[in-house]
Amino acid sequence: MGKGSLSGITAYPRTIDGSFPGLQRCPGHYGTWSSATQPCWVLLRMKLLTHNMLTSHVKGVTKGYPLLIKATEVKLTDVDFNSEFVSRMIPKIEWSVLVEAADTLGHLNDLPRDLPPDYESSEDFLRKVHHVLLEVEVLEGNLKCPESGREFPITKGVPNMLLNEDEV
Amino acid sequence: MSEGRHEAPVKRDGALADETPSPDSFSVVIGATVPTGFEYTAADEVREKLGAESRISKDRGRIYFEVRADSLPQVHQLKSVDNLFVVVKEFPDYHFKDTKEETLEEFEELASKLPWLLPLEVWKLNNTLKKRRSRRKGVLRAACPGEISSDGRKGGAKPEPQRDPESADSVIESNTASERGAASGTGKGSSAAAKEESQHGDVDSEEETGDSCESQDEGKKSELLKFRVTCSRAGEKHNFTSNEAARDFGGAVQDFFLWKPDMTKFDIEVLLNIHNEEVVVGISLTEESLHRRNITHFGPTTLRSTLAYGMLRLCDPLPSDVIIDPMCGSGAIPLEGSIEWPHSFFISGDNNTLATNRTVNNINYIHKKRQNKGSSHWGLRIDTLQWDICRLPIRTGSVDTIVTDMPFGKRMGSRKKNWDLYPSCLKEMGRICRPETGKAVLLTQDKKCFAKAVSRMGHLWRRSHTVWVNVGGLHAAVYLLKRTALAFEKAEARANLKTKSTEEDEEERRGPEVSDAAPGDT
Repeated sequence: MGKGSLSGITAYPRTIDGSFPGLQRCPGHYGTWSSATQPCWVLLRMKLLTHNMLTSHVKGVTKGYPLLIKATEVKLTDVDFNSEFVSRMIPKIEWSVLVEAADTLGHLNDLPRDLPPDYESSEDFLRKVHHVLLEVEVLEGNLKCPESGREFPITKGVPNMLLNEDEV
Repeated sequence: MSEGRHEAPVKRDGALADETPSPDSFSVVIGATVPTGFEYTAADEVREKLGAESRISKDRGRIYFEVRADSLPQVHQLKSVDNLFVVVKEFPDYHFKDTKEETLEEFEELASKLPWLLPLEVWKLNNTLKKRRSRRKGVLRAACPGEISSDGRKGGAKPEPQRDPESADSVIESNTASERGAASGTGKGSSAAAKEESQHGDVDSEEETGDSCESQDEGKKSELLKFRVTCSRAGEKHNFTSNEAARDFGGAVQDFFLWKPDMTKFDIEVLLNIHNEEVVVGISLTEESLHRRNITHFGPTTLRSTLAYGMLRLCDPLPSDVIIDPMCGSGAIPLEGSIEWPHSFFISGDNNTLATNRTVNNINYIHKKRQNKGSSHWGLRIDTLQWDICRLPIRTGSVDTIVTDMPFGKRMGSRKKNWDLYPSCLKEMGRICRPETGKAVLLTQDKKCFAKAVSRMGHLWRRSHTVWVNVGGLHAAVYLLKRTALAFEKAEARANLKTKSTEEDEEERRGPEVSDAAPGDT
């Protein structure tokens, strides 16, 4: 699966950099910035936790889940770890889909493909899950319906799931 | 300053008399204005965060609670309040005189008899908190001069601010000139026209705050304090107007303290709130209303953050709850949620690109703010998508709560569209919501349409609780719904059968040759 040009960005630039890939000028902001502040770019994201809940709703499709991710721009962010959040979230998600999605984006690392039985007590494991659920974000790419092949674009981190008139 | 006064007032040079108590040794009564209808929610938050019980002025959007003066910073952290003031004195059963002249004269005499000392101490304390905040604002403003994040002032005046229609994607300050003008009184020596100006004055004084802050520190020691009186009056039997009361009371305050009246660049705002027989004198603690926090990119119907907070509190988010706002607009609700309940997961969605852009920009601003503060884990648990509410691309039964501000049919959509939209919304929301434990908190003004839609979707939703609120002058309601225990497919099948049997019953009544199923078969 083609990954395109992955830019695993872990921190925002501290000075204005006009050619920063994948980011855009924030439409509502006027004026100039000093070099001491962040540039006001639009931030963009789709987390893998969200992807885990998305399904294709194209007419006639019965097996619209999971959507296949094709990412050309991925970003890493920093979200506060909370073990209760992760351990309660695991039963609500499809584990195999999460693993597959993380692998597609090249961020599987050493996350096991099978869910260990006593995951709640292993903080190390929970931290890995936390990272994959919340800190790996798709900026640009698309989500593809596994049955119909219809592609939903992801622009500036926002997946556009609107259907056309004829697909409804 | 004459000898006859029994309390030491604020002296001309700003220093207080020697016997002023320290903040941890005395309590004050704080009044807070909250969105009408959410008084109990606000009282709940006060109990939780300050350990204080509140007195509620039901349906008047006001609560009162007593706290130690040194917990003032925590009071400012309350999320369900729009404005705060410290109570100087409450008269629950004030006997107005029979003539206007006598009533006003009594107000004048009142000024010198009130227990000003402790409330003024609190006001001073409050200023030190405010200075820290406005200095930070000054820095941000230097960075983005076109961006204004606050609303016009709303110190204690009762009417809700109108939501002005605004152009998409631009950051605009929304003014509340007209409603405030109606309620405000004037200090002696200022003209009524200053009321309108005060809103523009707000912008100037806010932008100046960053600079004049420093000079104010030294300036206060040698300058007179500037003040204004704002009077709000409600009731049938008063023989005076709010203007007159404010004018005369303000005059007496001026004589007593020798402060200078100034409608726009005031240091201290005295509130005179009159509601039938209840009179409350207070000193305002908030300059700008707290209700538009977090939002920098406004849309045409952006919800107040305090109202969003109240709605979210109603559904009591738990860690790992998945909470969706499928018609998010500028994202006020999910953004407030992801900040105040950082261990739940929020998804915001809208069909309109302008709205999703706005939401992303608002989230972006908060992320930037958190990074500027140097916090290491600045990411919020929130995502944004573009979708159609009637065809949500979400797996069945995967969402715990749905919280949203439905189109009223006034500024957004239309009443006619609502007749189709509301049932479709409820159906789709019922599909994605987890059976039995799932809930929905929905705000709408189109109550008739909503009630009809809920009864049609009775196999998915049952009504639990309703809060009557006032949104921009409109009488709206927040409905708390609970998801039934039926899985979506089963519920739909049952509903279809019911419809089918109703149709068959009708056919039966029309004529025997039409129906092919016997009654009672289904």
